[in-house]
Formats: sequence, C-alpha cells, structure tokens
Amino acid sequence: MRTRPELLSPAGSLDKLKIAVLYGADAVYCGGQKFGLRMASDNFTNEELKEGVVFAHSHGSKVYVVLNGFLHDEDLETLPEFLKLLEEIKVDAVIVSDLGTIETVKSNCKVPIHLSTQASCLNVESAKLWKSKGVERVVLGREVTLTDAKEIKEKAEIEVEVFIHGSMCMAYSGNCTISNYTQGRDSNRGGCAHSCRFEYSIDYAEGENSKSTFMSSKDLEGVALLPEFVAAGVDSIKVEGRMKGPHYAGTITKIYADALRELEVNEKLSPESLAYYDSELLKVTHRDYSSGSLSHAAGEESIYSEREHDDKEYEVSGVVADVVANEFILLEVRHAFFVGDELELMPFVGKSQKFRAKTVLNFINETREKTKPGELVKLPWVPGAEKLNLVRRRLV
Amino acid sequence: MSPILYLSDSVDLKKFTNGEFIIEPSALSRFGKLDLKKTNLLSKEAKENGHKVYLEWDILMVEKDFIKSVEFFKQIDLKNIDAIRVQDPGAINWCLENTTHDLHLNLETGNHNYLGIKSWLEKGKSRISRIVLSIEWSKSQLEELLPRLSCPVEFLGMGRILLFYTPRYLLNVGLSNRESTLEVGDTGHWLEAAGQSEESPHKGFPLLENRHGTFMFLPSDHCLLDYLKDLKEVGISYLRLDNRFMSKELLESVLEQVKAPSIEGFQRVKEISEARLIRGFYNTNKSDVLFKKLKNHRIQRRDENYLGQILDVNKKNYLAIKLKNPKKTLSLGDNLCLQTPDGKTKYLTVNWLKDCAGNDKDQASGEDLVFVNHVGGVSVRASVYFSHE
Repeated sequence: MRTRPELLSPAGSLDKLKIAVLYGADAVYCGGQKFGLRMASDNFTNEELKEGVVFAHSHGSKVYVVLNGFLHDEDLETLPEFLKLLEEIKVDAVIVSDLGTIETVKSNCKVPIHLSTQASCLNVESAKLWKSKGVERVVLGREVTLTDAKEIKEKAEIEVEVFIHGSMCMAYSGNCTISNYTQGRDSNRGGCAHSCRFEYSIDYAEGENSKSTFMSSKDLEGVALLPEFVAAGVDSIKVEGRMKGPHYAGTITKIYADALRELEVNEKLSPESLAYYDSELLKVTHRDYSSGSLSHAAGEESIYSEREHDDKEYEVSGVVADVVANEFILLEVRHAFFVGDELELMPFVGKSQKFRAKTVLNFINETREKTKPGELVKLPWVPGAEKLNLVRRRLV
Repeated sequence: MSPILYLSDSVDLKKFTNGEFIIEPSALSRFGKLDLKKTNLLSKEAKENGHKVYLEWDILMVEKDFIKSVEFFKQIDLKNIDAIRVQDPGAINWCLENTTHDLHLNLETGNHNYLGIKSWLEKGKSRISRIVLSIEWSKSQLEELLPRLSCPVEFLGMGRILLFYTPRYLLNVGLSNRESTLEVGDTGHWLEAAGQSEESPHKGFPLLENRHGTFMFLPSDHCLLDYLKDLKEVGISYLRLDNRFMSKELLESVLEQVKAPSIEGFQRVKEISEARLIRGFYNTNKSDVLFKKLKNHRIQRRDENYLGQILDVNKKNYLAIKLKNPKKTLSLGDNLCLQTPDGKTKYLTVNWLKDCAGNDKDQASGEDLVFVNHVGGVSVRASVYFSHE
C-alpha cells in the first residue's frame, strides 16, 4: 500500500474528541469558542482544548483547530491571543479560510496552516497560490474528483485533504449567503440555518411548477473508493460532522479506521468486508448516501429528495462511563431502552458484541424496567468493554 | 464615481462617453451569454467607441474546467480588453503568470478584513488596478478600510444579490419535459424560475440554471442610489450597476439618477423596479449578534473552580458527578455550587462520596465518576464548581 492517508475525524466536544481518537482517528479537528463555523456546537473552552490535545497526543493522534470563519477585522483583533495559546498547547495545525487569517497566524505563531474547504480550492493554480502564501495543506472543495486531487497534489506539490464522509453543502463552500440575508445570521461565520434543506415550490419561466428539496445534497460516503484515495496519494481523508453525536463520531471513525487497516494488509477491500462497512455506515443517522464528486461531477442523483432523514436503523443507547470487571458496565444512557433488550457493544477495534440487558440497575441497585436519557445504569459485564465504548440498539 | 455596466447587444454604446463595460463570455463568466465571436466583436465595438472593456472571468473551476477556460481565454482578442476581472484564486494566479493585463480582483467572497486584502494586493503588486468588495461590508467598516488601501475600490450600486452558487444542475431535474435539443451544461443552456419555501418568510427567490450550474438570488435587489454622495465620501471609486437583469426603462432611470442624483430620481427607480430595493448590510452588519443565542452558555465550562458535570440525578438518593478538571480534587466536606442548564444555582456539601462500585472514598480526582449525596433542584448536565460561600 502507498502511504496510508491520515483519518481525520470531527470533534464537536471534548467527549467526542476522546471517542473519535479511541475509535481510531489519526487526527481530529475541533473549534474554540470563536473563529469557527459551528457556533451552535458545544466547541471547546481553552481548558478543554488543552486537555483534548494532551489526550490526543498521548494516543498518537493530532489535533487541528478550525479558524475557518470568514473573519472580520474585529475578529482578527482577538485572534493573536488565541493563537499563542494554540502554539503553547502544541496543536498540530490550524484550519483557515482567508488570507487575513493566514497573515495573522504567520505573524503570531509557527503553527502549520491548512486551508479550509471554505476557500473552495479547486485547481492546481489555486493550490499553488495558497502554497505561496504559506499554506501547507489544502482541504479541497467537495467538487474536486480524486483524479483532480492527485493532479493538484503532484503539480502544486502540496498536501491534500479530501472529504470522504458526511453532510455536504450543495453550494461551493463559502459561496452561500442565504442565512445572512434571510435569517440575519452569517453562514460563513458559524450561523448557517441550513435553508438549503427546505422544501421549495419552483415556478419555472416556462410555466411548469414543482415542489422539492432541490437544493439539498445527499450525504457523502466513500468507503468503497478508499483504495482510490490511497492511489491518488491523498494525505488526509476527512469526515464531516462536528455537530453530530458520539455515535456518529465513533462509528464512522471506526469503520474508516478498520478499512484503512485492511488496506494496509491486503491492498484492497474484500467484497465481504466492504459489505460489512456499508452495513455499518447505514446504522448511523444519515441522508441517502452518494459518492458526490469523488469519481465524476455530482449529478442529479446527488440531490436528496426528502425534508427529513430516513428512519434510523440503530440508535446509541449510551456511552460506557465506567467498567467494573466481571461485575457490570456503567452506562450513561443517551436513548431509552428496556430491561431484556438486545444491545451491541462497539469495542474500539473489532466487531460489535451483542448482549442482552438481562438486568438493568441504578447505582443503588434498584431495577430499572425502562431507562431514560441522562441516567447511569449498571448492565451485565461484557468482556473487553472499556470506558467510552458505545452501546447501541437496533430499532427496526 | 464612475459607473460600470455589463455589455450586451441591448446597450447603445454611442449613448455613453468614456464608458466602462464588463464583457461576459459564456465560457468564463457566471451569467455570460456571449460566444467567442460575439465577445471579440462587442469588445472591439466598445473600444472603437472610446470605452474601456473589462473581461469577466468569475466562474469557479475544477481542474478540468480550468484547463478548458484557459484554452478559451487564449482565443480572445485581448487587444480590446483593458483589464481582466478574476475571482477563482487559480485564475488570479494564472493571469499573474501568463498575462500582462491589469487585473480587477473580485474579493466578494471570503474577504472581510484589511490584512487579507492587503495580502492580495501584495501578491498582485502593480498588476491589480481595482478590487471589488463584498456588499457585506458596512459603511462604518468601509470608512475604516478604504483609507488604508492603495488600490481603488468597486462596489455594487444596484443589482441582484447572489445568495447561492453550485456547479450542480438543480432546476432541469424538476421539469417534466426536460430539454431535448440542448444538453444540460451546453453553452446555450439557460433556465429561469422562482422559488419559495413555507419555511422562509421570503417569497420569489429568482433561480437560474446555466452551463455553470445553479444560482439563487434574493428576491430584493441591492440599491444604494440614495447614498451616492455617501459612497463617494467613503472612498468608493467605481459603482457597478448590474443591468443584466434590468429592463431598459429601469436602466435609463438608474443612469439618470447616477448622473444627477435626486430624491425624485430615486423614487422613480423604486417605482419602476420590479424587485423591492434594499440597502442590505450597508448601514449595519450585525449578522453575528444572534450567535450567542445558538447554544446554552450556562452549561459551558468556566474554568476557575470548575470541577465537572452532573451525569445522573436520583431524587433523595444521589448525584453522579463526572470529574472533568484534572487540576482539582474533590474531597469529603467540600462545598459545591451547581449551575443548572435552566439557570438555577444550588449548593451542596459533600457528606458522602462513593466510586462506581459503591466503595466509600475520601477523595476523587482526574476523570473519576463519583456519587455524592443528593440536593434538590439539580438536573443532569448541571455544571459543578467549588463554592467559596
């Protein structure tokens, strides 16, 4: 296998960072309280960032911090202080969207600079320009095919990062201001209201009309194309989703990590394992999947025709909060389940283990017939269970 | 301030003296309709009438399209072109290295600070003779920015507000009788529509699909024709009047207003315009003030005295606390302050402390999960702090 690409996962919070790292992320990206694009996400306080970096580094993973809003002058005034902190705590790179931020980073610290997909870097000449400005890696626009990514990497001699999984903007990233003008929220500074997901009535000039979610994109899913990512020499494969829950962060990271491990050994993904990866990816809440523009320009098949997501096949029952070996696992419940339900423990490596919640007790050993989100319950011990393992339940 | 218009057959070049026109070949510009022959012909005609002609190359391009665009560009008769207007950083880089023309840098997307603009100007050195700024810049921001710039600035005086640009073809798919003679993506492909959603208070978003993808505009148009003196004082050098979607009658009123501004003239423009006219963010841009309402800051970690978070509450029996501050140790007898997600503050003295297995503890630290005595009114996700009260 050629150089193994880095698996880069989203970390919307410190808990999600730990889950992504433990499930196999080579790197995670996260945001502080300002400067990013996900103002509704928990994001990290400075102390949490410090902890997150220490945790990730102790597991051999890197941490990239997003500064990828289109920053205004007043934002840049307070950025240097934050940059000094990032350098001090040894974050591995910052992800930026505009030249002003790049200049500010260069003047205030030596943290490597990655260009955000917000800047819509789509071609060789563009990558050359950003490189001349000090960018070490470009996160390519989602419109770029893997063939083009290879060319950009080789001709511009720059690291390339390509999205492999998650939600997609229908617009060129950074080129949508619907929220700015219709909701008074700057979509490019973290206030996107997802108006592209609405259902619209369309009256054509020709007199026809239709009703559809015509601006809504299907989700990206590229596990079958992983060998092509490797062949293209992509340096980092990126999973979208800082706003999504721990189930998503853990499951998606685990599948791509497993697939990368398989590729390292076998140089291809077997049909059996591909079927397994596909089936696992379906267990996470998602819109219909598409390969976007990875192979060829996304066409009409990439438009998502529903307003809401499909019914979930699985949901996360909880996160393992503690384990007392041979006695019980203590689960922090996220979605309710009943005593007697069949659950699945997702170990950090390897296949899920089914087990039955024969007993469900609270801390003072009272039986809980039905759990509720936000409580801790003791479940029968499962060999191999570890803190921060996810436990899920099949719904259909 | 010099007005700038888009060049087409419908513009009577003889009516203008020393005019400035943007020419839009279909292959290079988002809303262009001109083929190569027409591009060369119209630019020549404009030059012969004493006008300046600027070539619009504002599409965003993946590599395959970039190569095609360069091939097209090389066929244009550049002797009739005074400057090239570029937006994709790839096009900027290519033009800097492969042409000698002046460049008008379109910085309408993602350029909202002085340092970034300065960096662009340094990159282009003397080649950049104009920059085009986003209409998201407010007057007060422009007042601070413009005196610091070494390059003249163009601003949209009147025209449609582009909200959305995708290379995907989104409109054609909804037609029952799809285009049969033209393939989607062909040079002549052009579909117009209006969209509205029950989830948005705005109605009638103009939609356009052409060879470059799909575009959506705001139903209201941007108009600063009652602020012309203001714009001049701020330091705007060039005023773009986007006549591509204007009727002939409206354009005449707009030009009249720019030539001799008056309250009556502005009223006439408003009356003739089919779209409602707005000033957008010119007077103020507060599109970040709602951010603080997007999440509950009460459950955010404030680090002085922060200990952790409540994970479970069992009435009259216990609270479970997940310790999250490695610098702090929780001990029996400690006084804690609990801040709930709905804004309540409760106090607790730790009378007993147990680990998950139920063992009594005197202390806990690191990332321990511990159980302590209950206090009423506390809910899951409450933040736990050491109390000095």
